Amino acid sequence: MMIRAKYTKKGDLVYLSHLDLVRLFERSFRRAGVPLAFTQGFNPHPIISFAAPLSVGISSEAEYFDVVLSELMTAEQFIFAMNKTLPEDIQILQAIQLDEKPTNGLMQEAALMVYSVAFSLEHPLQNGILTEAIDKLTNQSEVIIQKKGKEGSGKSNKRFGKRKRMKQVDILPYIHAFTLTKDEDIFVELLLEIKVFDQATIKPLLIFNKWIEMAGLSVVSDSVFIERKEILKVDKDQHYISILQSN
Amino acid sequence: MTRLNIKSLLANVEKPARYVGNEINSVVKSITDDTIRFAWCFPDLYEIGMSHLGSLIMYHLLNEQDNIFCERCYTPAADMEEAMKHEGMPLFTLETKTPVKEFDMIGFTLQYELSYTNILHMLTLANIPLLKKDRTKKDPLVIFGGPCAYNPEPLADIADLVIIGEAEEVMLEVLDCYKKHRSDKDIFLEKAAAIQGVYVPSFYEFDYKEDGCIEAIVPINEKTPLIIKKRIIKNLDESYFPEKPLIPFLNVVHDRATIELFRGCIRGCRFCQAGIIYRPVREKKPETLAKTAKNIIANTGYEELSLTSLSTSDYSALKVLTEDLTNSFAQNRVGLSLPSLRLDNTTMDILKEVQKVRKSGLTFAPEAGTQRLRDVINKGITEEDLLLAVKNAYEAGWNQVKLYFMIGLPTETMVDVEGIFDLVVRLEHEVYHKRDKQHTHPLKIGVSVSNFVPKPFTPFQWVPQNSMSEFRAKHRFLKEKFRTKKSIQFNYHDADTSILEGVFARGDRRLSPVLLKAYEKGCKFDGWAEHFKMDKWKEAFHECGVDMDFYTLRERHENEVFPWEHIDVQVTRQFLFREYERALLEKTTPHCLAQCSACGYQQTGAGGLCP
Repeated sequence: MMIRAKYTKKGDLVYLSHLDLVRLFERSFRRAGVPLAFTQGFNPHPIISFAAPLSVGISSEAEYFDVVLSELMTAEQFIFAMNKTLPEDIQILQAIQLDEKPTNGLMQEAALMVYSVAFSLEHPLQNGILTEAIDKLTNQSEVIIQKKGKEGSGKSNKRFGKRKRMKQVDILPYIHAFTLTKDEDIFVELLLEIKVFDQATIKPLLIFNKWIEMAGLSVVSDSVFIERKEILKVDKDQHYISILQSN
Repeated sequence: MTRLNIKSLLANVEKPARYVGNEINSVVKSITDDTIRFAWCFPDLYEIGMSHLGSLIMYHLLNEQDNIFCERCYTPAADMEEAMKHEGMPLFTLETKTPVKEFDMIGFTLQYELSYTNILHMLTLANIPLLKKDRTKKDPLVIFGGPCAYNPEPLADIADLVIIGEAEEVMLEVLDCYKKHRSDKDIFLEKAAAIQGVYVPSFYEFDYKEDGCIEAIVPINEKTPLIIKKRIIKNLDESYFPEKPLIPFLNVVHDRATIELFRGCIRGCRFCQAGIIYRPVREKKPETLAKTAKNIIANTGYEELSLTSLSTSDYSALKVLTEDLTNSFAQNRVGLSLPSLRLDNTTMDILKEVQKVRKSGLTFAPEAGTQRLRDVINKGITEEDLLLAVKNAYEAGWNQVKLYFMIGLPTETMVDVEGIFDLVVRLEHEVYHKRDKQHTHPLKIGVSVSNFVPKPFTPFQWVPQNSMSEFRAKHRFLKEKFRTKKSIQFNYHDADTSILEGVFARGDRRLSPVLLKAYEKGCKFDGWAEHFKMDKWKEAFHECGVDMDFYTLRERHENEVFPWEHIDVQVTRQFLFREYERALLEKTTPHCLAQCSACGYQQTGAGGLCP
């Protein structure tokens, strides 16, 4: 059987890389006494898949993984056992049992990433200026940024390994929503919903940086705090729904 | 008490998880006026320091005590150092982000000589004066320990206090003493010096002869002990071992659970310092180890457990223990790893059982290329042993074999150097080229050559080290030879760092100023090839008027007073010299279980401990 779980990644643990996180979970399962199923073959390892790796330094209230178990366990038992052993900045919020492996991996299901971006301005601005700046970006016909390509898309070189080639991407098709949620004195918060196409997406920081560059905003350095709020999938009617909901 | 906010530093540094602490099973205590705050400083990166078993034991042992709070600190990488300097932030501990300067004591473990500049670097980042004489009552006490502390003289001007021997018991006594004399550093040091295993370098003066050798080591007053005797734990089986160890978040060098089968080694290889300073051999009971191992896995969730010691196949209950652990861990797929093996038949059988699945690489250490030289170093291994071991390993399914050799060993000639090549070629030929048809997998042989560094408290403490040009000529020769064998991967260790290691290993306190000078010139992370600056080191020696060759190239007289003469490892100098003479005669000495060679341990009144 399989468990699908929603968890947080906050505080100091935002500095863990995705690989560190995978290792942390593998060891936590063992500490919690969760009966893991293992892959066959020479080097057996637990069968876990994650929805979407989070960039180092970004906080999240909604991360997801699937894990295959060798014995039955209820979602409640799973949450209880895991949260007892996980650090407080990584906690399971919800879990569901999945009877069988869905045809698509969790990675393929992620369709929309919801982020909040909080930051401080160097100086307070007049009302409306930020909304205008958002409209200015979203009303363009295209907004090109430089983005690192996927690993291996560049020429491989014996001495330096695979090089990531920079490529140009139009960010507008990825932006599902870009709204101002707080604008008080110098304290600003945005909601940014970014689409995923074929597992490709744009990091919120890249969109944010492009936006402040286009709008000429002065942002207090180190004040930017990005948090992933949710990851959604699409149902057959092309509506965004929770990853924990059945199709 | 200050708690630094380091958030702003973390955004732009590589692997920020190195600096945040908060790992699973890490300890944070509340601090009162009575709390003795100890900063455990490891003079290298987090990934290296978190792989060190001794630090792990001490961290948890100290934190088990009421009123002691031990926190950790590692050398920040260059990017973090820059960020800290930019924000004017001093060196801080991971647990509470307190500046290291605010601690009662800071302890550095000396694992290798090339980490000494990092000690100066960390003190500098902490705003603590480097020299003991410049530190005031407000500064923390600076304590050293670990294997290199058996000759701590190069750090004599920096140290307040040095732990000689196994720290588990003696550290608690030192901290107890500190509790009583916290208000007066001088009285504390005086009292602490009376504890067995404690050395206070400032209580001794060195007189030198005209030729630069030591005339005498003189205690400054009659209260100071003449000889500092190392501490050992008599009952290792009952000694403290953490069952809920820290789990690093990052992928560190040794990222696995560890249990220690025994301390000491019966073998008596003549180049090996660990084999002498950790005497005598003390085993833990298999039941104790099994219980500890199971608790550690339950408390950490590690996927691998390493059974460590200086020579794991010499553990008397290895078969019983591995069977027990393999059975208990099978369901959870926890693997065992057995480092430091001698591959006789029994060991091979155990290994086949243990590593049913993951058969990646095996490492053998013949150390020398000819039987003559292996006899000189007392490495009781023959070419036939090796051949059989590699053949067994290959036929059991391993496809990678690493072979470790040393060059520059005493009495070595070019015949011995060429012997390395000949031995490797013969191994490949006999095992792989003449394999049975049923074996279809490849055999990858890797050869790693390091440079011999004579160490204190070994039978070779009298010998000259090879010169730079000798090492280089031997490297060139082997490189040329192995160039014709594309199937074998040949690696060798840089000669510069081995020579510097040689200077500090047998160095005296006249090296303290050189160390300071080299650090001033930008030397740090000397153990990392990309940071090592030999030209700066040479300048530092030159400007301090200290000759490197004096320490490395000189054959020492039988009765020369060594800089570590006042340190007693409870193995006699007579035994070491006897072993040196036997080496020159190419005579081997049986291991401790076969026959006692009267190393001195039995005579010290500590009898009954030896196997």
